[in-house]
Amino acid sequence: MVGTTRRALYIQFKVISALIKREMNTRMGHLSWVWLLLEPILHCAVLVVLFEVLRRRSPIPGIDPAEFMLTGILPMLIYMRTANQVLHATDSNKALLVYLQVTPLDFAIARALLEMGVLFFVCFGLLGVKWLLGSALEFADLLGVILACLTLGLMGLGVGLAAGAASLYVPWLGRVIPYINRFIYLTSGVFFTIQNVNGEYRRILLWSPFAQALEWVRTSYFPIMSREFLNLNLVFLTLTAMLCTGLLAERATRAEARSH
Amino acid sequence: MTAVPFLVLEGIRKSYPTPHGRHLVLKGVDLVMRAGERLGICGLNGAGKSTLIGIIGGAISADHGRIVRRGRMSWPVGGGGFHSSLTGYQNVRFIAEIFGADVKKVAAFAEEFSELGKFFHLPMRTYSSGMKGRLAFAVSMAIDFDTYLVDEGLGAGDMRFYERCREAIEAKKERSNFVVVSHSMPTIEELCNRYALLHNGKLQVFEELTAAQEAFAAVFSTEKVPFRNLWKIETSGAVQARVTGDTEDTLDVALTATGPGRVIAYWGNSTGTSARRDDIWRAECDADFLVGDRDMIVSRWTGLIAVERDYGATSLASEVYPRSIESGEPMSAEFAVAHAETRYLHLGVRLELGGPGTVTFRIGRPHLERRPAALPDMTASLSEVAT
Repeated sequence: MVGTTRRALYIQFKVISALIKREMNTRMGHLSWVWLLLEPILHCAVLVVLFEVLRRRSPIPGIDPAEFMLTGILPMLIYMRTANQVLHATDSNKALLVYLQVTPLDFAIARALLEMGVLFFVCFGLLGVKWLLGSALEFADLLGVILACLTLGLMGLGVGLAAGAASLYVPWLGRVIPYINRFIYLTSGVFFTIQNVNGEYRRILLWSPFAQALEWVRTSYFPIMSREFLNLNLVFLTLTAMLCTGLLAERATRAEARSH
Repeated sequence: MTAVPFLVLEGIRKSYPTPHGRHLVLKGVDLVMRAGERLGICGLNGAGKSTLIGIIGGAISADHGRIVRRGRMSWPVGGGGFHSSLTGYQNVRFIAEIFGADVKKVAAFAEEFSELGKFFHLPMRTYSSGMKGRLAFAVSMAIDFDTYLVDEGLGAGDMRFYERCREAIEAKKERSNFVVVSHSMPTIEELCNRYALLHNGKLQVFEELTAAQEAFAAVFSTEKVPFRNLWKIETSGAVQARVTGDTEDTLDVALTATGPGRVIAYWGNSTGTSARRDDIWRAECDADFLVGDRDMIVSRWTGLIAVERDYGATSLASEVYPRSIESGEPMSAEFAVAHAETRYLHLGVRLELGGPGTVTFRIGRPHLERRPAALPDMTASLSEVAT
């Protein structure tokens, strides 16, 4: 039995690594890998410039506004892009289901790993730039930053898996989910934080797992930010629920994915 | 030999949704296969052959029923499972990797066996379906499987490639089992040692070839396929006549030509599927043939000499070169064209006449031994255009 499991894991490892290579070939052929890296950077640049033009004050005194923005945009991009890529993973790889050992879960994992890899690469690249420009790299808790970003990526995987499975039956979901993700992106605290909004809206944000995950990123990144509103239990509970739902949904619809 | 079965199907049912409700393709298929068997599954177009082999390989899920697979089984090798924007090599590498095979070895074998030349390193969207089929078969042969599933892939190439496929299967038959799906009985007769007919959603298995042949002939002769085609003869240029039309059935085409010169009959289709080996498997000809100056492919079944030729990016056609026609001497050739994949098919005849002559096309259905009433003989007299 142990041998069988090990063999299965080995095959899955082989499949996923082959899928990642293949995905890189299709998406990074010629010079398109430049775009793959440049796109999130441009996205950040545009928003940061807009933010600087519209309001110069930082939401949290003592924190560089651009850095504040980036610590919101990039982690949310990890969630959003992973979710959207995973959502369409089965659609775009359907032809590969002729191979018995390849499952929709492999497509999802391959895409999530690739997407997270690209964005982590961009994040570290930007940190490198900051360091080269002469700023010291100080974190409240670097491991916390990484774990928080990873959590957002895994939330994306869970949501993408569940939505992808549901869209087998309700195809228009596949087109609607990206808009919902964009809404989540805009309302979860990319431009603000739980700490600097007031009243009713703060009460809502306190219960948003995405806003809480961002709060986790920022309080781990900026030593001067307080953790008074951070609710990690909510983040972990949501993550667990999303991953379980996603994995179960994928497993339950695996036959349906191969039925055409 | 009563070996442990490597494949068991029990009560496999499968339906597809259509605008008119669900269409039941497989109505309870049972099958047991043991080591050393090479099963050929034959059936009419649309009988569900590809669905069945897809279910055997796990590419398609069945609605009901139980499947047991033992040993390493290939995917249903047809020409699917590729990514069109990747090169042949990149696709081969992917397949080798997911089956845990040696990438270098598999790629080298596939490149050599498929004879794709420079196309091997070009994106697969530039491939014809015949080339995809060749590559798929080549990759599968490069990897060691206990059971190979072949879905019509053999017909996709030319005659010479078919020969190589046959030799490859021959070489592996001691160690491996095969399930071959085809609408061509001769292919199955040649490659297999057990035969099955898929008809009306049921699979009937025969141990004896003669029984299988009889059952298959009975099914084919009762097949009612509507002729929705409109045939027309086009004459363009000084020495060309072309018959175009669409059909999903097998047709007999009889060609009679008189006059000095040479007649070239060809067929192909306009939708990108290559002419298949099956296209001419029923060919009979009472003429000797002149060999053209291109690569020859000699059909062992008929003695026809066909030359596969690429008609641009969209169409492959085979050509038959009848012999030179001496002045005034009539010659005739008959061949049949069956097309599984496409509705649109063109048949053509090109006359290279040294003087006035005529060419006659007769189109009919060989299985019924009669011609559909709606289809008259078509005669194009080229005497006025040929000089």
